[in-house]
Amino acid sequence: MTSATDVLRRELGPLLPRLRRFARALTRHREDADDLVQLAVERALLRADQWQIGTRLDSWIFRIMQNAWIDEMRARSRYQQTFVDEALGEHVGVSTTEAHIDAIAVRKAVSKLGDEQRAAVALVLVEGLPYKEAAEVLGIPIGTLTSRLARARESLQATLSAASAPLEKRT
Amino acid sequence: MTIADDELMAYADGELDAQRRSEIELALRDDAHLAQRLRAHQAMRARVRAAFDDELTEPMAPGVLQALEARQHPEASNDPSWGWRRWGGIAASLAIGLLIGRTLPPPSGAPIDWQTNEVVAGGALERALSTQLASAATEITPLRVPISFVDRSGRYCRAFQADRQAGVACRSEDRWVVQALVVDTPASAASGALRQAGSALPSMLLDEIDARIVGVPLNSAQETSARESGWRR
Repeated sequence: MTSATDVLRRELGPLLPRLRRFARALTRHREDADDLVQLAVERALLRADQWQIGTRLDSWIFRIMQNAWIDEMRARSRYQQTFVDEALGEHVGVSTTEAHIDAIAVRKAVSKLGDEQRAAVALVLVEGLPYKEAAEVLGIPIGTLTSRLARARESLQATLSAASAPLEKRT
Repeated sequence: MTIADDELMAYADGELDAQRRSEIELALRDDAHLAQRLRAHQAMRARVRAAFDDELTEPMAPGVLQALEARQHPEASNDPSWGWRRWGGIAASLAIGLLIGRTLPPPSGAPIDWQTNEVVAGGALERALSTQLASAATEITPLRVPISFVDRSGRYCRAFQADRQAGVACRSEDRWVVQALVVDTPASAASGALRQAGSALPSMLLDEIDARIVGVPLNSAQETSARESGWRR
């Protein structure tokens, strides 16, 4: 018998790298991101019957992750334990290609955005979700999403155009 | 025609309907400045996306893959990270300080041994962690070990509790490394809050366990076999 859980398990596998990418953008920390993905997978499998076939699975899991992360941040702030890791801006392995240097700069700029703007950027620009889906993941109106997105873009533009000057000289 | 930046952004994100899209495309033809603004949005979108792309090819963490493969036990119908609280009793709300890992100040002596990078349980605490079984607790001992569980990195961990402090320690090779310690502060000591709470663990510690536990706490058979194996997995 194929249960909803089995269907979900099969569909979830290929999504894992994207879930982790979103988790890293949210948490800015590799271990936290792995933990968050694991928690989201566990929760999703337990609630398999709540996922409506025909709706986007990625959005549904992103929402589980977003909510779990907000809970986690609340719990941590209760005892002033926040980890902000620079690891998001780093890269495993040394590479000096221009694309890599740019990727590092961009990830660093994204990691410096506030939590709300960062989540909007991760969902729309990185994951390519339509505004409507992204707004549902975050539980906000579309207008709020677009204004966060617009402010995030301005800030990225400012950070990256300031940062790219010395970078160009180096190459 | 004036086109707001928000709308240009929506155009770059593929969010506009066909009619508005063609209106904007018309305007773009003879407005070089507008075209430049659009290119900036498009370039930013592509650049951000590309920056995160290579993360997709890294191998997944083992814990994530295990979570995907794990069969749920029929009785584990609750959310796994919360279901275990049944064993922990009702959380007490206390004015306490939580000290985590290496942020602990050097203690004055046993039962905790301060080392360079970790806080290792010693003396009575070490003995209680290694020998006492949560499931077999029949009397009030000075040190109680009410919960044993497996954490996300696959180690055995145990919550411990004494009159004035409670914590979590995890087995790392041949020692118990204290991961979190809740200490009764003078404020809460005055009210006797931790004492009055009886066998309940402080809520901060329950949160700590929540953040670490995989599944539910060990049952008595699992705990016994864990002890027999020297708490190694």
